Parts: sequence; structure tokens; C-alpha cells
Amino acid sequence: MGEKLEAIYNLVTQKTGFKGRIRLAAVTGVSKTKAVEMEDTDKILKKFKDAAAEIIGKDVDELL
Amino acid sequence: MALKGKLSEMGLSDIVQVACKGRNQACLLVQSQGQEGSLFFENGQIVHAILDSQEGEEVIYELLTWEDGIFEIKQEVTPPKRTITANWHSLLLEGMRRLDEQDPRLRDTTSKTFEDAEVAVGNSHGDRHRTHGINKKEREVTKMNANKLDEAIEVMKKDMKGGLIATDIWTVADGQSLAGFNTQPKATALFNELTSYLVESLEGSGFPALGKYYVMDLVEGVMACVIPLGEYRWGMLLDSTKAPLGLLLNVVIPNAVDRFEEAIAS
Repeated sequence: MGEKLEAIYNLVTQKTGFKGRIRLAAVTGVSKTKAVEMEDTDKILKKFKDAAAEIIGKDVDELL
Repeated sequence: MALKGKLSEMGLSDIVQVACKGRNQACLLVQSQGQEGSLFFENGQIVHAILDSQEGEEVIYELLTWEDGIFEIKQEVTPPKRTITANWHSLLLEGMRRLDEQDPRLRDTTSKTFEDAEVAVGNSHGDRHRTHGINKKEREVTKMNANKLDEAIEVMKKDMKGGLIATDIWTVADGQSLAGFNTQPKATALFNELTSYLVESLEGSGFPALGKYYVMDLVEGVMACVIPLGEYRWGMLLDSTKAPLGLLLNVVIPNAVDRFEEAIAS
């Protein structure tokens, strides 16, 4: 559960540090702790990918 | 020059911010349903408030509940007296907390165009524990859960096993502490400046950007650590004999970030 969301969190943290991670939490309203426990549904994944792309400045699918 | 408007178009908290940031002597008159309240500003703070026979902080909290009415800011008005000493951030925070207690929907109507600082749900610990979010672009998402922020501080204290000397979470924008333990306002402001300088220096030198944290080894067995968290920073002063570096890096900081994130996300 939540492997993809966790991977997005890890990617954002790797690329932008805690600054990006906190921004991702703020935008999605889902903390990493909760993301790990959530199901990777298409809807939530899209939300995370869009948010991450905005934070990193690159398409997340290219980096995952 | 006087600035006039409707409360339905610009909430009182926004007006207060404008007035405080202007740092001028000014008087804000607010009229609603036959009542008239006044706030007096000086040097970027609210120094006096009056509504009928009532004076002081309670007037601000009352005026924050007004949804309809008109306001006018008159410049160059000398406050007739000083009945308020609290920082305007703290006053807005407490006002918002009270509004939330009454009706969470009310709070939204009092702040329609918050520019740089939004006071979000808070608690009643006063200056030592106050919470407000920052950043107009992220205004809609940076409302902080103050209880969770306090929880984060408590978790840090526990993780440090008695090694935590002081800690503050502050906003980058103004270097003001949102929450803390044995809070250090001067150190908070100075470390905010220092961190900004460090960030700029790294950028200017062509080095990689500041990562997840930086740690300073101080004399007398003390360590200082700052974690940049976007629009916020979390600094702490530690007794390194009780909270060794390994514990800090592998337990304290990860847990602190998790908890802070919970406060943001919720």
C-alpha cells in the first residue's frame, strides 16, 4: 500500500529536501506517514504527481 | 489619506495586517449595525482598541467577528492611550482561535485577502505557542494544525531524552516563533537571518543548495541544529552529552519532520 506515493515523497525529498516534502504535504494534504498507508489509486497518484511535478519542475514519471 | 471599504470585501485581519505593516500611526474605524469600534496603530503594532465602554484586546476579538460593515483607516492619528501590548500576530491568532471555537466558517469570512501572513487555527498558549502560516501563494494550503505542532515539539522533547535545551519553529518571512520549548525569540530571529545568509552564500558560491539540515558544534557540549522546512524553519539547541549526533540525525530529525508534516497536511 502506498508504495508509489511513498516513492513520490522520496523523490521530492531527494530533489528538493524537506522544503519540497513539506510543500508536497501542504498541497496534497497528505503526510508521508499517511501516504504510506494509503492505497495508490489513480486519483491520488495524479494529485501527487501533479504536485510533485510543480515542486520539482519536471515530469515525475521521467524520474521515478 | 483615508482608506475606506467594506468588511465583506476585506476582512478585519487583512486590514490589521496592512495597517501594521505600514508602521504608521493610524486609526481604524469599523462600523457595523450601529456600533463603532476603533483600533489604533503605532510602530507596526495595535496599541489601543475601543468599542463602546470596552477597551483592550477583547475589543479586537469582538471586531474580528464582524462580517458586515464598513471601515476607514485614518493616517497620522495619535493613540489616545495604550491598552494593548501583545504582538499583532498573537492577537490575530487568538482572535482566529476564538472564531474557530464559535464557528469555523466565520474565520474564513474575516480573511479574504490575507497577503503575507495568515493566522490559522491555534491554541491558547500565547506567545510561547503561536501558529500562523505564511506565503500568499500557498495561503490556501498552509493552514497549520497548532495542536499537531505542539505534539511535534513534545515528540522532540521525548526523543531527545532530556537533551533538548530549547527549540523553536518559525516562519522564514518574519523570523517569529510559531511554537517552541524554552523559546528563544532573539536566537530565532538571528538564526533565521543566519540561515538565509547561508542559503544565499551556498547559492552564490555555486555549491549545492542547503540540504535537510545543518548542525553546529558549540562549546560546552552544546549543538545547534536548523532544519529548513520551506516557508518555515525549525531550530534547536541540544545538550550533546544527552542527545548525541546519531540520535539527532537518525531519530530526532526524521520524527520532527514527520510530525511537522502532519501539522501542515492536516
